[in-house]
Amino acid sequence: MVLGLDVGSSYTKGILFDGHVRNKIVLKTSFKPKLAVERAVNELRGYDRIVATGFGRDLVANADKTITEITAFAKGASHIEPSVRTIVDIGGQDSKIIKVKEERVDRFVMNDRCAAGTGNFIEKIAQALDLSLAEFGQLAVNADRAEIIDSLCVVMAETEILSLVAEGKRLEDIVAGVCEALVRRIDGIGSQIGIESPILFCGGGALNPGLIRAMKRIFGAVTIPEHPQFIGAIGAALSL
Amino acid sequence: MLKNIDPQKISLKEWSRQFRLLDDSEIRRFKYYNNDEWGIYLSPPATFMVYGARELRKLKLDNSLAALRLWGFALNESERLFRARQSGKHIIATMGDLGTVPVIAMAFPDCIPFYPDCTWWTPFFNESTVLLDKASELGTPEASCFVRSTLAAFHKMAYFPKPDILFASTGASCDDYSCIMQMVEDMGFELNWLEIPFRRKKQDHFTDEKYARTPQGLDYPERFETYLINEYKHVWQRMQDLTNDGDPEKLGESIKKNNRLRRLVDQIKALTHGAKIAPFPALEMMVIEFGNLYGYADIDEWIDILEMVKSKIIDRVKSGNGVLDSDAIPLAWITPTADPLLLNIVEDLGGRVVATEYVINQALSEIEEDIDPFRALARSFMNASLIGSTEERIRHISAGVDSGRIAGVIITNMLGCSHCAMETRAIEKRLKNVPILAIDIPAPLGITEQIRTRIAAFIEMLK
Amino acid sequence: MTDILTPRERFGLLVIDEKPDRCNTIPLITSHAASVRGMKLRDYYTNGENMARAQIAAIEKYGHDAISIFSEVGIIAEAMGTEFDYPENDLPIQRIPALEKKDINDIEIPVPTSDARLPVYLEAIEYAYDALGDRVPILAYIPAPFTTGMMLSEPNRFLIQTIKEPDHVKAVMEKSLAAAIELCYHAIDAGGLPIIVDPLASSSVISPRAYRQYALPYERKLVDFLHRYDLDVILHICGDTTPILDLLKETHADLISIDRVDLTDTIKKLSSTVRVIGNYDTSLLAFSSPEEIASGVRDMVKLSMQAPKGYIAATGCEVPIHAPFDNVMAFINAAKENGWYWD
Repeated sequence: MVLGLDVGSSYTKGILFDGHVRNKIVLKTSFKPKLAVERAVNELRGYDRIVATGFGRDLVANADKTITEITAFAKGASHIEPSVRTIVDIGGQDSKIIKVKEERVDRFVMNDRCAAGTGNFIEKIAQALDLSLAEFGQLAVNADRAEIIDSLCVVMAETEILSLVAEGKRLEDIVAGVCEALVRRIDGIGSQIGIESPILFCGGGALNPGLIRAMKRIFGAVTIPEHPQFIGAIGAALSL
Repeated sequence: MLKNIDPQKISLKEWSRQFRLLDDSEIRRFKYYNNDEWGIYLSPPATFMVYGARELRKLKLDNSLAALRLWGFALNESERLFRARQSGKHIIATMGDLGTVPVIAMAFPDCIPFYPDCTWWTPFFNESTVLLDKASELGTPEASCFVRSTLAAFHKMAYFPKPDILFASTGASCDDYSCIMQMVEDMGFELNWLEIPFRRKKQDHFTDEKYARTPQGLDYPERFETYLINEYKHVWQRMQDLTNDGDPEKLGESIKKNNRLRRLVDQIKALTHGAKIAPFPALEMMVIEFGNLYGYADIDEWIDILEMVKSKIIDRVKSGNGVLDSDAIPLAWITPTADPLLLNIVEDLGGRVVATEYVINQALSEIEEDIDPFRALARSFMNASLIGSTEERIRHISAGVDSGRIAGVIITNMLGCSHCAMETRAIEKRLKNVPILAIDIPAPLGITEQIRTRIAAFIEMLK
Repeated sequence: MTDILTPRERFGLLVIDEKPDRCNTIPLITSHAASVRGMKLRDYYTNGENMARAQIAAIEKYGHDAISIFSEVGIIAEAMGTEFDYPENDLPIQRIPALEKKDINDIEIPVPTSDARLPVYLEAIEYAYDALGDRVPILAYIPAPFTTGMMLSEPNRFLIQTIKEPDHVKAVMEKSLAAAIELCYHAIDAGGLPIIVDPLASSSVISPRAYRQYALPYERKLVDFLHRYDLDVILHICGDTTPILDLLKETHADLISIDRVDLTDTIKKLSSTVRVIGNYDTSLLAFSSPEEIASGVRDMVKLSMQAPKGYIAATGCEVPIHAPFDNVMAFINAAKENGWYWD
């Protein structure tokens, strides 16, 4: 039994894995990654070995192996969807687009400079609109159309959105527009390596129905795995 | 001492421990300008750290005496230049051309050429924004290249002495650097400008143009030779005015000496890059390549150091020892790293640099010895990396890729360097058969966990 | 005039015989920094981070040219077994000297990373270096063997021993030297430039004969050790050094910091080969007015700017813990205003 730990910047994800996911846990990493790692290790018992991934992978003191989240996602995604060609991961602080070939990373790009291409964009805008993330996601699904939001910068987008609100546009359409703006940004980054189908959408972003809808509108068919947040942890466990 | 130790990269503290074992006589054996009083330069990294080179706390350096000499000498350059002036030598600032004007300067007695623009490295070695902040205060835009620290250095006059003459190239050279040199001129320094032509390729719309080819195989319009010869004669004249000297024979000697250095570096590169296990670290290798520009202001001592480095490398190759694992992933590196730590990180994560394109090709290739020396210099400069097309720049990297020696390419993009921004995509397009990782070099102290992850993932991908 | 250089650049030029923008201004602001930060002295000298933060606060307040990591000269002796009391609002007070309990042969060379308060010093150096090391030199004060020897002993007994038991004194010196070297070695790795302090070797305490016999050879050995590192070595002796002024050259120190000595005389005798540091009377910092200080410092600096190998404007001894801030500021401003070298 392997404990796969994905210590992300926003959430720490752990799974017990023996070919199947036997148990799992998600904890907020916040600014205390060590604490989150400790809790995950204590709560998921019965493992023989640990593999860690994610930005905090080196904080897992007793890990048998560490790999980067890029490699982990490729392994995890290929296990769940063997035909996958492109993985889109929208995380809290960064997002990644990974091209996969024969279950291995072929090429990848990361957006880690600017909040505009990450889950952080959604969180900031939701905050400005005084919405919870769940409310935000639900509203977006009920949109008739997506308002156009041109600004890629969070700060600028906020201004743009507030003026849409002032113009009396429907909140649902605005929120859907925000989701599409983010996915368009992902499309832009991904074009450097060429996004090919089948596409697997994972990471915390894939829990947001608004983003799923936007992904489907822009990329066509997109697969959402059963546990989108755990792909990295599964890939880590598989790498032994 | 230090004779029978296994090669490896060691931390500053480990170097300090090792340094304690060295005999005083060993320390006093090496000196620049052959001066016993202030010319001693063999110090552990900790000494330079105490005087402000903060990144040395993080860098792991080769554990050989040869490497200690190399670092001591390179990091001592600022003091060396001041001592040179104090002892009556002429200080010649040669900027932007990267490798040709110094050859002329070395033909004159007691003339020490150096590159003020190499202050570029200082913010990274010092992990400091002192120079960059000052440059911004003096009027350079924050988004311009790190070379702007040179402007601050000219303002402060604490990193090198006031030069007796300043030569600066312009034209087909780096644009941010040229603008900064204009500002240096406005600060009251008298600049002697040299114009550098763009090495355009043979194309139909340039009619009636005769073309020539450098020994390294690059085509250029033949009339550029005459043009550059004139520019160099101008340099010669200024040097003659300064020193009341000027023996054309000496230029031939200077070319020979510089060729000796270039051959040596070529051999060191071939040995290191070709070995089964990397015998010498990438960071030290970068310091070696850049030494070709001007021999770190004492070319004789530098050549002597490199002879020692070479025999150390030969020993290691013979015994099959090295500083990296045998399965390290062979990589090519395009454009210099600015932050030395990056080279350390790539090796720590399992990479190995086996080919480089640090935009100083003109300083790496030998100068012809059997033709008129000025013409030889002009033809040598025609190999310059920055004055031609991207395609030409990556030619030798492509050859390595095709031969299967290179598994991946890392390109470092300089913040504010318009050249880099334009070129990276073009390089990616041309090097189709090999995975490429482009890294934007952040400001000093800016290497984040994400940059590390990206490099780690890239190397995992190639394994 | 506005500063052009950082303290780091300014000090760097001085030690390679170049004139900086203005003279380095480094009054010995040691435990006084605790007052600047409003910190109890015990909190200052028992906690490295506190010590460094107080020093940084002092730099921010006064704008002088170096951080001084120091509290008192007993640190090495303490790590070798001398016991100290730690009063809340005063510096440590020697209680039982190590050599009153043990023979010198039974005393071990301390491990700086773990013994007594040496780790406090190392932590302070490292913290300060991390925070300001790119722009300000971090001076790590290292008690010289003779001073440590005195701190290991009952002082009067030790003075008698210098006459009657030379072998014992030499054994103490050797061990104190080894301890000082060990501390230097760690201080350098932490980013500190060692400055050797030997106040108990001044002529206010011992005879020139005893200085020549016991203090000087070990100061020189310590300096020579640091020269192996190609470091520029500062030697500070507070108190009267008039009778041994000529001997100070023989220590091989590159910069000599003096206290109660005639400055003109010192410059005449030393400054063709070493850089002179000093020597404003610190008691005046406690008891006179900013105006008087400004004028005294101006005269001192004007005179010393002539020193051919360069000069650092400093106090002869530590700035008193409770010196009025305005007085310290007056010193620094006056030194900066009058110490300009560049046009």
